[in-house]
Amino acid sequence: MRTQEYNNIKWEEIPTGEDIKSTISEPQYKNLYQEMKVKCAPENFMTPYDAQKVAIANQIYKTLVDKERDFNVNEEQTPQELRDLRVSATSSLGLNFSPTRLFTHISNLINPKQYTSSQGYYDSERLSEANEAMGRLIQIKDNYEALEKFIDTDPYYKKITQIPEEPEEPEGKGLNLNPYEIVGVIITLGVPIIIIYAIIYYAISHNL
Amino acid sequence: MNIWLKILQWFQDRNERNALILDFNQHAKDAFVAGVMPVLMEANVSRGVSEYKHAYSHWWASGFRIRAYAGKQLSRNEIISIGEVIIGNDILVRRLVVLGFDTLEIHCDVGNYGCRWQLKDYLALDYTNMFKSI
Repeated sequence: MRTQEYNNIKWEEIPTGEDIKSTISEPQYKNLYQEMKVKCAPENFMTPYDAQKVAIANQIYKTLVDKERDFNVNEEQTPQELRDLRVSATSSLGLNFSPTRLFTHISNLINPKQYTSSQGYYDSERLSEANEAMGRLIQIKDNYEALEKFIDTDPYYKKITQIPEEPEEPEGKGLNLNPYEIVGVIITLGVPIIIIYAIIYYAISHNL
Repeated sequence: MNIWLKILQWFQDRNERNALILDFNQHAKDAFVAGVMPVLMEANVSRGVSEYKHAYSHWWASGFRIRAYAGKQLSRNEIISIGEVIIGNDILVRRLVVLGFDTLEIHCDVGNYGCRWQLKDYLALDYTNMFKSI
């Protein structure tokens, strides 16, 4: 009987009583970038030492560090390059990126409960739309690629996350100044006028 | 005589462990072919975890390792769901414990991530009914 194959497996101890329905106990990462930065660190593949994986991890880690400003963003703004890096890390380094965080993030945004009467705001139409979207989401909750595609293409998700465009201001209808701007104009024009008036009054009063 | 019995017991246990592994693998193949299980599982013996040892643990090979052939890396939830199938079978768990296994390990053929369970925690002993027949 063969024994001790796959010696470099990273084992996770499952505590008694935890099942698939219980809360996921792995560390909570803010976004995919933070998770990749922890899991793709080259030192993770040095015990036991795997030169090939260390080289691949080094390349990925360098890219993460160089492009931190572009990659360290919210889930829905994850760039395609970072997604491709995740796929590469999964296949070449054998890493496991949990889709739970992404699923939780999306489900919090489209949660149908926010349109129920228990929340004080009942909207039948929105509840129906959110319910359908949640039904689609639950079917793909364990599939990272499908969740990313959901963010990109699901019509309901795009509808609720789209920033509404500000209405264009009509042109040529007055100065359109806000109160602060008005005060600024008064001070800018008024102070010199007051000073000039004071000088003239002083001159007249002292027969200069 | 005790030593002789122990030797006989050792051979018998070894045969039973091998029979269990072969039996498990055959059933796993049949389940996969029939479409009952989405992944093909293959069981093997491993070193196990020393912290999980119990009174019947094998001195060297106390791990029951299952490799799941899925063609892709399985997520943590998928591996846990496979584990639940195993630990949900009380008879199998008791048989594993009696034959000297104390650790259940499951990993997939892609990647290097796996999960493991302490088998004695899942013996599901029902103490309330144990003394009723006495």
